[in-house]
Amino acid sequence: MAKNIFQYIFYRILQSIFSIFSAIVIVFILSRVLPGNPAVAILGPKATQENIERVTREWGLDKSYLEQFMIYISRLLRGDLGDSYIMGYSVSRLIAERLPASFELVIVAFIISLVLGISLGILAARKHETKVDLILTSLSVLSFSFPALLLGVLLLLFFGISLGLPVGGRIDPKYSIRIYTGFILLDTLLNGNLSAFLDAFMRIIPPALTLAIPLAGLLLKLSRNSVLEVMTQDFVRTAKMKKLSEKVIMYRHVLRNALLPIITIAGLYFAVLVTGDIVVETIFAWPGLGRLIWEAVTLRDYMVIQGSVLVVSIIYIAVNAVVDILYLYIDPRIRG
Amino acid sequence: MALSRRETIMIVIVVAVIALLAVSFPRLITPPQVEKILVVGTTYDPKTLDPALAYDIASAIVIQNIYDALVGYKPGTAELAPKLAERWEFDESATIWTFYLRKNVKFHDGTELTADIVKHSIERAKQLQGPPAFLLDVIDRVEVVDKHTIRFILNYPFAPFPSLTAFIIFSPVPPHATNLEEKPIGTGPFKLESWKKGEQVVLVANKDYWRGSPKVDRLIIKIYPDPTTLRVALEKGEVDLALGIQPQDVEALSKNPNIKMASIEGLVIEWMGMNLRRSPFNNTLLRKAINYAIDYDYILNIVLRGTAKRLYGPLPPAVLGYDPEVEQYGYRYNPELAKKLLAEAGYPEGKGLRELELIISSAERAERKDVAAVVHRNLKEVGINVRVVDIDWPSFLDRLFNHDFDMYMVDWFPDYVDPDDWIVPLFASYGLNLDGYNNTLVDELALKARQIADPQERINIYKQLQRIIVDDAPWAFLYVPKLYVFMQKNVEGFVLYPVYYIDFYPVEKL
Repeated sequence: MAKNIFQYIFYRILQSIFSIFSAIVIVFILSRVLPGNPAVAILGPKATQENIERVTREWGLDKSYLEQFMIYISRLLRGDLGDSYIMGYSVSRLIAERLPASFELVIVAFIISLVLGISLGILAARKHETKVDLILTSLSVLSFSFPALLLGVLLLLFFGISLGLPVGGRIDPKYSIRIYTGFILLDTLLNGNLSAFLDAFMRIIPPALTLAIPLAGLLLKLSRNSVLEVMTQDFVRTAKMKKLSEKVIMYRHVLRNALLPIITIAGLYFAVLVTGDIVVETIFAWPGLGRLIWEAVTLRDYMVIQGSVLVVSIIYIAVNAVVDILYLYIDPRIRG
Repeated sequence: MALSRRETIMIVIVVAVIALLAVSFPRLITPPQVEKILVVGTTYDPKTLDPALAYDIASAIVIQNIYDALVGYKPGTAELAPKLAERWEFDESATIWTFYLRKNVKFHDGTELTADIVKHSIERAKQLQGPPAFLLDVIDRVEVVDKHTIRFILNYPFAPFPSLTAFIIFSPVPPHATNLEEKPIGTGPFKLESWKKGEQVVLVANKDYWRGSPKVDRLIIKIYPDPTTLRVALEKGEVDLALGIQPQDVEALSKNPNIKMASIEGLVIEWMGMNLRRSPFNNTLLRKAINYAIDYDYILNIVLRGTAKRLYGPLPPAVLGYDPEVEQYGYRYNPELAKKLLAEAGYPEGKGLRELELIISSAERAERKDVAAVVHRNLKEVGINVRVVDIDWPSFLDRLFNHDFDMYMVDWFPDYVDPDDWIVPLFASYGLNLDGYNNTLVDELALKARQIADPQERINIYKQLQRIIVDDAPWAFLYVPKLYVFMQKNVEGFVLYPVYYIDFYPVEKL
């Protein structure tokens, strides 16, 4: 049996490597077939023919796609993501500067959606076929069909104007915070500046909610259905007949089984959140990876597009693989 | 007493929270900083802080406050004024330009500004060949006359040269400085403290500035990529001054009693170009019909809500050589005349005319979409069918440069404030020639006007040029957006310029 697990993990890793390579190829091709080039994007209507030609030559964009790709791959194998055409820095540095902001936002959003989604899902299942259930399930449908752009602006106005709380950016620029980890919530605490921490905390809530609400809605629906399904199974009926308390049945028997599929979905969505926050980062002035990708696309900064999409793909594929392998351990049925 | 695992964890958490509170408490009760901080909100992220490489407004705003160019502007105008150069003179042919530098100007690192440094900076920028380097193509060589006198020998007579030297690429940089993209060292009123990309730039006052120390100690330029968020931050008082508010927010903000507004007529022009290389735009009557068919007042008053003025000809009103008479002979909304001209052009009621494609990029200017919708409707009313295609900026430019369009809408911002920077690139066949417009008289006059030193003589030529171009109607002339800056009531001393020159030196916070 152990051999099987290792075989499974081995294939899973092989599959991941293949997926990452495919992502590299696809992004390379997609960014090249987009019309326009970085020389034109930065010079605007003033780009002269000589200027465009010079930039094209300098950046090796006049070489064949295959040649460009081979150069890119050989640099990549040496761990070099290349340099930004527009900003002049190495792509890995640009990504390293932006990644913590995105990660922090996604982690907070993920926690909110897990807590909100699963607890409300259980509530809906327990109040099955009552008004509470109806309201919660309707809300969940509404939440994941609501466009992020609209939700974001609404939350921005609600928190910023109606509640008068600080919004936009990660922290009030008046605080000078020494950066240790890149995670502003941690860094403010490490600086021992509590008012800066509170400011940063209040600022992360609206964008995190914008990301969290659709996922919470999905998790609500999933956990409700999953709990309901488990509750009708034989072992639960047995537990009920044994006159165990409802609490014990719920937490010991039902949830343990019902949460399995939820973990998988939640894991997948963690990765989706990392990529899905372009809109949120723009609305809330969040200097994260999503915005870097967006800016790079609008400027046709190929190396930055390639590098950041590659990093995101790796995160996505790695999280997927880890979830799959974890699942293997949690649910013995798969091992067979 | 043995603790359970849960109890141990709880105790650890409680101790940690108390410890953090204890560390934080003294900071909570420290008195507010006495330092004067000005927080500026903007919508764009600077790309580089090297004046030799920067060619975008966001970078220019920061660079203008860290560096000084050779020439500046009189407050609130586009008229040239001395800056690092106290005065300048030229020979009869307008080919040799001599600039006399201000003495005792020091860089942030203490280096003294000399003519040698200016020469080196220009040569460095030429060598780096960054996006704005084409502006230096006019310069053949730079000569040091003495420690504080520098001479530019041009490739051809070029009267607008001093206005060109107000561009940031003419900002001297200290020799031997490295990594100026990130660690700029200028002679300007502010020094760079930190730059977190995508987030903010922090500048501190240069107490030894040659004009005296600026009025605020610290300048924080914070980036809000979404203009709505910038507006909220302004209304909440999180930013003291906002650059980049959208036209649709101007009306509401101007009514906010807590916010002050500064506005000025700008130098940007927006137009609808036509591809004269292909039918039906090779027909002047058709182009005139289009000019008469557009309801300009509707665009200005309803779509733009008064945030722009009409553009009647190739030049905006704020530039030298603008002919006020163009407001008489320029095109006005007249659908009946448009229909008549369309029939004369051979397309009565639009019969025989194919569907025309209008390409725009609303990503670059949001209100363009609504303006294009009005044009679409107006042209349909006279019988011209238009399909509006809204694409992203690089795709738009790609089609523009490959002349793959029927009509397009775009704007133009000058690099130097002289009619030459509109007429030559946009209308001379040896310029960018976006539209395929080709009039040998325009070519000749444009060349002549840039070579003559006498301003009055130049003005006369530009007046003549405006008449010819309006009569040829290579474009539908649309509008000139106004520039707006919003700030808190306690911000004093900010002066708005028609050029994109944002000077924080005189700004004070009460």
